[in-house]
This record gives sequence, C-alpha cells and structure tokens, in this order.
Amino acid sequence: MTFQPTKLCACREEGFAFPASFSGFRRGRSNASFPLTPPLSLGETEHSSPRRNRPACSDRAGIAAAEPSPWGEGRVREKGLDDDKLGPDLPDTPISSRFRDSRSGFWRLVRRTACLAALLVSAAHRFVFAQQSQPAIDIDKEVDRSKLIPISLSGFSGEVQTVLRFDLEIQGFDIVAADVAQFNVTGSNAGAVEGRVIDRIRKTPILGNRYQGGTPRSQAHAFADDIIQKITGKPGISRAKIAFISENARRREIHVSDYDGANAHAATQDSVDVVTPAWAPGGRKLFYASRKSGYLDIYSHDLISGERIVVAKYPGSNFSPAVSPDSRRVAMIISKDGNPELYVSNVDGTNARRLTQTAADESSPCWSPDGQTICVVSRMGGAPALYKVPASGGPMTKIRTAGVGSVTEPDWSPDGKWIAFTALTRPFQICRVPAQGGTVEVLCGGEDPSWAANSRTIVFTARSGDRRVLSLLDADTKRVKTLGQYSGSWSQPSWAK
Amino acid sequence: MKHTNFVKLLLMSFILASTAIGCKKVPKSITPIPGANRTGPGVPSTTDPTDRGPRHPPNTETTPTTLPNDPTGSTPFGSRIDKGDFWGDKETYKESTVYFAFDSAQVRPEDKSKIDAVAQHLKANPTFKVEVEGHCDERGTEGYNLSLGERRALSVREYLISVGVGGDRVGTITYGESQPAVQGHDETAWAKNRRGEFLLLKPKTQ
Repeated sequence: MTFQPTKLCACREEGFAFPASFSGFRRGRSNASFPLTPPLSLGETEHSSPRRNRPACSDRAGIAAAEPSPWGEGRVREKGLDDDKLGPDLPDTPISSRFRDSRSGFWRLVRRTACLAALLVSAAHRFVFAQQSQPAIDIDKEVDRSKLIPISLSGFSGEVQTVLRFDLEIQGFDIVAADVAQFNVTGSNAGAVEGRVIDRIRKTPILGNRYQGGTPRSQAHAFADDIIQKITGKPGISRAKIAFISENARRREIHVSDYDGANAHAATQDSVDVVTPAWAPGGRKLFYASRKSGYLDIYSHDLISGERIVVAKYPGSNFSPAVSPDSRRVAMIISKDGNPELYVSNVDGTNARRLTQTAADESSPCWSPDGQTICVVSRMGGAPALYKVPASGGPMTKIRTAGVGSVTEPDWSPDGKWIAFTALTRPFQICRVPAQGGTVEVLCGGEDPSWAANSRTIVFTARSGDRRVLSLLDADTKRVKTLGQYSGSWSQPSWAK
Repeated sequence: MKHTNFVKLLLMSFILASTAIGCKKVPKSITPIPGANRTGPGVPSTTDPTDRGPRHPPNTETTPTTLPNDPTGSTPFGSRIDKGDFWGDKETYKESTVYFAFDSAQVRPEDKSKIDAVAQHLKANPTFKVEVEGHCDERGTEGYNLSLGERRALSVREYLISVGVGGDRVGTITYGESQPAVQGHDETAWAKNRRGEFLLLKPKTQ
C-alpha cells in the first residue's frame, strides 16, 4: 500500500481516511480486473478535494439535463451472474463488477429486465415493510435550510428509498427534484443496491458503486455513507449502532439497534431494572448499572462472548459508567462514602479512585476525546452545573454555560469541540457549548444527548406523554427525526463509536 | 532466466495492483456488506461485533478488589446489607415517608419527627435493618435523578445515624424518577414523588 504510482494516480485523495469497516471493500477490489485506463477517470481529478455545503445553483437548472451523462447508460457488468441470487446468504464473498459504458443491444435488454425486476422487488418491499415499522417523523420547522446540500434521488424504491432518504436527510442533505439538486443520485435496488452520483453543476460523476451481501437496508446505509463521504469528505454514520433502555410493561432491558432504530434486539434478559447504558469504544462491550443483586451495580458486558463482569459493587449505589476513549479506564458514580461521588477505575473495576470530594451529588460523567479530562455534573454550587476534572485527579473547574441555569447529562463530542447537554428547562432542551465553556446554543427540545462519531449527529430522548422516544438531531442543520419504534418507551441512548 | 521472468512478473503484478488500489476510480467499486443488520441471537459475524445477537450472560461474575474507606466521605457505608437474609416490609414505615423540596436533598425540619420515629423503632428492635429509597419527580433528567435520589436517601441515612442508629443498619437505594408514587405532570404529583421511603428489613432467622 505504500507504493505510490505516479502517472495514473492524479485522482488520489490525500488525507482521505477510510473507515475501518471499508477494509473489506479494499481487499475485495483486488479480486476485480482493472484496466490501466479505466473509463470515467476524467471527472474525478477535478474532485480531488472534499467539498461541502455548496449552495444550489438553481439558475443553472437544465444544463445538466441537456448534456449527455458521462456515464453512458451506466450499466453493471457482472462476473458471476448467480451472485444476485445468492445475495444476503453470502455476505463476505465479494463479486467483481463495474460500471461500463456500453451501447450494445444485449445490455439494453438486460437493463430493461432489471428495471422490471426492480419494480416487482420494490412492490414486495413496500408491502412487507409497510407492515413492520412506523415511519420516522420529521420535525422540520427549526431546520437551517441554508446549510442543507440539495440532492436528488431516483431509481430506488421501497425500503431502500426510505433508508437513503433518512440517512441523507439526517446528515445534512435535502432531497429535492433532480433539476434543482447539486448532486443527482441515480441507481436501483433490483437485487443488490447500486447507484451513481453526478455533480449536476460540474456535470461530472463522483461516485459509482454496487453493494452486495447483507440486507437491502444495510446496502442502502452503505451507499448513503459513501455518498456522504464523497460529498462532505467526512465518514457517514449510517451503519452505527445505538444502545438504549427499552421499557415495555414496566420491564426494562437494554436494547441494541441500528442508529435509525431498526433491528432492535435485547442485550440484557435479566427482568430487573437496568439504567445508564454506555458503550466501550469499538462497539463490542456495553457498560451499565443493573439491580440484579438488589442494588445498583455496574457491569461490563461483552456482547460477543456474553461474558459479564462486575465493575463496581460497593455498598450504596453504583451507576452512570463511562469508558475512557482508550478503553482502559471507566468513570462512574459511586456512593459508598456516603455521597454520590465521581470515581475512576481500571476498566475491570480494579484500582478505583475517588476524584471528587464534595458534599453534594455528582452525576453523568463523560470523557474528553483525549482521555485527559472528565466532565461531570455537580450540585456543589446549588443548581446542577458542568465541571471538568483531570482524569488523574485534581481540582474541579466549572464550565461556563452562559444563558442556562441547570444543566445535566453532558456528552463530549468526539472532535473535542463541543459538550452537548440537557438544560433543565420546561420542557428539557438539548444544548451544546464549546468544550472550554461559553455561550450555550440551544439545539432542540429533548434530553440525554449522545454524540455520533461524526460530531454532528446526536441521539437523544424525547418525552411524548408518558412515553419516551428516541430522536436524532443533526446539530449543524438542526434537523430532527424521531426514530420509528414498535412499542414501549426508549430512553437513555448511547451511540456506539 | 526463469528467476528473472518471475521477478518481472512479480513487479508487473505489483504495479497493476498498486495502480488499482491507489486510484480510486469512480465506477468500478463494489462494497461487500459483511452480514450487516442480521439480528437474532447467535448470528455469527466476523467484522462487526454489534451485528451479533445477544447472548445470555454466563455466571462469570467477579468482584473487584475492595476499596479502603475514604476518610473524606460523608458517612461511609460498612458492608452491604444482604437483602436475601431479610423479609422486606413496606407497611410498617408507610406513614414515615419523607418529602423533599424541588431539586433539594435536604431533610425538611417538619419531616425529622417521622425519621425520629423510625429511629426509635429500629433501636427497640436491634435485629431490624432499614433501606432508604430515594425518589425524584420527572423534572430532572434520568442520570441526574439517579444521583439526586441517592443523595436524598443518604440525607435520610445521615439523619438516622445522627440520632443514634448504626450506619451498618441503614442501606440506601436510588430509583431516580422510575417509580413515581403518583402519576401526573403537575406540582401536586411532583411534590408526592420527591420522597424518601423506608423499607424495613426483618431478619428471616428469628
């Protein structure tokens, strides 16, 4: 990988960070046959640097339509024709295929057949998924439209269309008509999801990809993330997981789901009250407090092996664990000394050390991304406020949250810039403040925010009557989407990253 | 010369491979999705651990090393009361439930007589223990209310200790806002939900 080809790699994007999950993709490519001069390389050289938030040039509408697409008819050539049939059953077997500019009648026939199949599949999807989940609810009145990137979607249907729209809208895009969009996304989900993205303003293709394995839903998430990565230069978060408390008929268990609420399943089956779930980095272990022993104790739960260890089981209550970014320490609230105080221990619970010495209660610790500082809520000054404490011990420093009196449940953004928190207003509000303190920006109504890896999407709890629901917020555009959920109350979300 | 040919071939394939990898040409990529989003217990996955369904945890629990008591604590606990050895009785101290002001964990002066009565009863029955449950109204967030509820229970515990009940006889637990006494979204309901309740623990062997 260190070899740097000179001639053909003008298109190489420096500083482009592939998410770890793409390693399989890169490996998969080595199986493909690549010509030395692949078609459609022209446009990409113009797009060697990431662009973001370019306004739509609606006055230029129609230009792109008059131009023939540089993609030709954008067909897919398959090496193994049976791969589509195998589909999700062979998730780890990449097939080689690529888009090709071809005008033969045979391929036209193939395309028409594929279109017909797409219609049938989409009809089936609509039928199946209409019965399964509630549609997400959009709250658009607060959206800052000037920051939205206009994009069009065509050729997709059913669940794939719904997922693509959801993923793009919550990550800063606005789905508009093709002739006013800055980017045109076309493709199909007949069989596998495949799609192309054209910069309509520059009239150049920027992305073409086909997805295999998994479910149509996961393929759509992967395509959405590729679109987001290509256009914004930052990885999307469409395939992330969240953990949360699901309460049904007064029974509370931790559930894990996709970031959009789909595929929720129970991670605990204890039939006892459980609170404050928090992911360890990497998305393999969950930390939480459970009343399994009759008291609140902190557990670390490996979701793969099923192994569960007690991290803190001291007299009194033990809750609100937060694992350090290096996965080596855990911050938590322990009341064994007669007061709920902030403690830090090794990740297995050993070597616990008390960091705060107050007469009031501390709550809801979170870590700075560099692992040097813990932000914790304390009522030492009367109303609950945010304080910074060095993770190795030291004095508490108040974080100024100008404009808001009582603040709780902080979460430090992965890029280190922001601390999101809940303002105890009526009703509660999700806010963010620069990590060094300063003026508070109110983002939307809700509580208990948890940042995604992209430092812009936030999952939070909203109260809806006596029920609680999870919602997603795009902090940059203030767009909010409530997750579809089947029943019961969902709360205390934690974003796996 | 066989060796040279081999080296040439190796070099050629290396150039080809690195060209393909180095140039992210637009249209020829295919992304395999490793077993994504399949749910249900025990579905294997090699790359994305969170795709795997939950497994019921085996009994591999271990207890960490015990902390030495920190002298700066308010009123440190001794050992934890093993509730398995006691009958829980919610009725005896039902009328002794104490209430708190909004966002406060201070025991109100008018409630002290209720706690005094509990203390008298505990002193008269030296084998009995008590657990104080701290509760909150819905006007705080859940993580915050867990701490506030615990702080309320601890305030009651401190008062019990101050009037002569041994600290090892008083446990605490916080329920945050999860167990409201009264449903409702007004001050009447909230005032009844900001409370500390007593659970009398009577030894089973008596």
